[in-house]
Amino acid sequence: MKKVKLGLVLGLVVVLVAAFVLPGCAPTPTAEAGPIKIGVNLPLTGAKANFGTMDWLSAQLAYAKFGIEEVGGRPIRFVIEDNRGDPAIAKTAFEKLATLDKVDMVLGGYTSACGVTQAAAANDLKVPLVIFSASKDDITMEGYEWVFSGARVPASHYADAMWGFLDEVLIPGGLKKVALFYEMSDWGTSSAEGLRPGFEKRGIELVYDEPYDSDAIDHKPMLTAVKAAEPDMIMAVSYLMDASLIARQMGELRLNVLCFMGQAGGYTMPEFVVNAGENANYVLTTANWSPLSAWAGELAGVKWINQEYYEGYLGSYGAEPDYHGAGGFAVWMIALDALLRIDAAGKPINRETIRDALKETKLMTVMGLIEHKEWTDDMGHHYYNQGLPLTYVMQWQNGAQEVVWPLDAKSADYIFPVPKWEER
Amino acid sequence: MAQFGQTVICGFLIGGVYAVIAIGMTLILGVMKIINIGHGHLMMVGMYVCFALFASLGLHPYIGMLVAMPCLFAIGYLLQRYSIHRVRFVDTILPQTQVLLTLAIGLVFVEIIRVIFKSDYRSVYTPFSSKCLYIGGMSISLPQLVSFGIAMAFVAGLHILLTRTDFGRSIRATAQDLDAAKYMGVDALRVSSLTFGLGMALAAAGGALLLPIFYLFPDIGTPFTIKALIITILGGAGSTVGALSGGLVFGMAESLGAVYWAPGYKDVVGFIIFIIILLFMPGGLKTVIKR
Repeated sequence: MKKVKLGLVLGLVVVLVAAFVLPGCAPTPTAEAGPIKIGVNLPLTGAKANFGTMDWLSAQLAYAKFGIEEVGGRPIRFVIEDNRGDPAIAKTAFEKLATLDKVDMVLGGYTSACGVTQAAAANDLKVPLVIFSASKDDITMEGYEWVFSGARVPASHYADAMWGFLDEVLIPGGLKKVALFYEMSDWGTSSAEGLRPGFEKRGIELVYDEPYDSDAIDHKPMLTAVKAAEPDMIMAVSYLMDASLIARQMGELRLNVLCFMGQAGGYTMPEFVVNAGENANYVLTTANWSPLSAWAGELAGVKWINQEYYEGYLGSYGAEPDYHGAGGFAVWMIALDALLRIDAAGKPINRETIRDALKETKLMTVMGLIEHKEWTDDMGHHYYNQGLPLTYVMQWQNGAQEVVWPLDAKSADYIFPVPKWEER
Repeated sequence: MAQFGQTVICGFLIGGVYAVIAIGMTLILGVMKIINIGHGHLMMVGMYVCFALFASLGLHPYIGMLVAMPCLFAIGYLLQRYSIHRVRFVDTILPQTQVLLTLAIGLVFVEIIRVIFKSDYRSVYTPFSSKCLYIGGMSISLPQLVSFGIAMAFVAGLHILLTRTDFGRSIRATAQDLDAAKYMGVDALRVSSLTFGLGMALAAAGGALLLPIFYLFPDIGTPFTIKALIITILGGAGSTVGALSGGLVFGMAESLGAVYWAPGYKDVVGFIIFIIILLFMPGGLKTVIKR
């Protein structure tokens, strides 16, 4: 009996080992028949699902808009993996897409932490990865040959437009001291690293500079410490619900400053105003996209304009998109453009040719011109396969987002300094 | 001084809500010797009951709590009677099968809720959510103050139930010596099922009190299971006063840690307390209170 049991256990072990190991031993797929498989690796459930879902819905909108269902006689098929916002699951999902599903390319990379693990896996497994909106700078600073920025803005460049606003409006308006707090994952810390030199260069004193836990229930202890530091401006890097709680709890504490500036993320999401209520008013935020931008172009013989995407999303899903969604739309434009260029050149569509085509991407999208190239910024960051969409400063006014900077793109005048909480 | 006062107020108020969430776990651990890993997930179910009532009928979570508590009581009772009890005294390859079972049950509820409500964030924001009292430059959140008051009422009610009623004596007898309680005529299965139900009802109450000041999504339970476990160890298993003092100490430690150390490390404060209590005061605060 014992021998039978031992045999069963050993048999089970062999089957399990074979199930996990053999797919990985398979040669790199180069099959150029059958469908073109596009992997999608996003958080579609869990705490970061709002962002991932908006990315994916927008990519689907782009797929429908341009109407290309096959390239070179091969139908396009999506293989979707929900990484739940967990970097470890994102990596495993990527490996599954690459080895079991044998996809030709992956669209993925929200959140930053998930983007980091996916990018490393993409380079190891030699599968082209186009990033949705994972913004940690390092993702495109590692020299990965198979990783492409898509329409993402590197975290340290989210505030590019803000610096002009700071120089021309906020500093002349009396800004001398800033409190900086940021969610403590890859995105927050990477953003803070990009922000500090900008403040220091302008002689602005950072009177508070701390990471925080975005899952915290009560941010008031942190905001109490911020209040005691008496800043003129608060700069915050937050996801969605922590952004909403922070806005509410600032109101409760009557934390008065000349202005509050969010670094995109949760502060641009439509749900921010739903959850923060009237406390969202006057919040300024950097943004990587505006529905008002006049971007337009043609892809696959279909003409498009930026506002069409905004209206299409609103019409299809009953909610406003933000830059995460626009990035998702742009990612499919970039992927489709690469596939069409390969086909037009008469080359087979496989991982290598997709990589080569993505390297040559220079395409007008709803996020502006995206050009995958190697360049160095003024902070010394050296990027590979990275574009740089324009950024904006927006302000919540009467429950709606208005572009207030740059002035030539504005939809409303900025309100600065903002009214005190007692006077609202 | 205002900064310190504000910090203490924040810690005290949130600590009261923590106490109600944890008291269900401490009750179950004290009576049944089971660490209910699904505690936070079942609290989440209670929150969704309140949210559904708010979204469909406009009922404030404080009113919705009156529905959520009986619902979770029934779920808890049935789970214990027909599921956990079946494996409680069974010899299995793992010594704590019932603990894993509570984890599995919790995860099942998470996925059921995800199917029904999706993963979207939900919140119950009303104009009352941001109302405050202002005293000496310090603000006191009215929803948190009301939650604290209700939390104290629950703790006091449970304390009276356990110390002044026959049912409470049955619970305590079962907690102290299961076999002796059975010999004395206590229906241990009924008591443990009712206790589990009561623990779940209190978790639902904690979730309902949290809803106006926080937000909701299906995976919200895990951090609250951890907090409840820390408070249970801190206060001592099976003690209402221990859970209350544990909740308040934990809330205060988090709050002070966020202000005077770093907001990013406030969870570390909780874990440090957890380790210190396990090492130097394994009986929890209730042993100090009894002295």
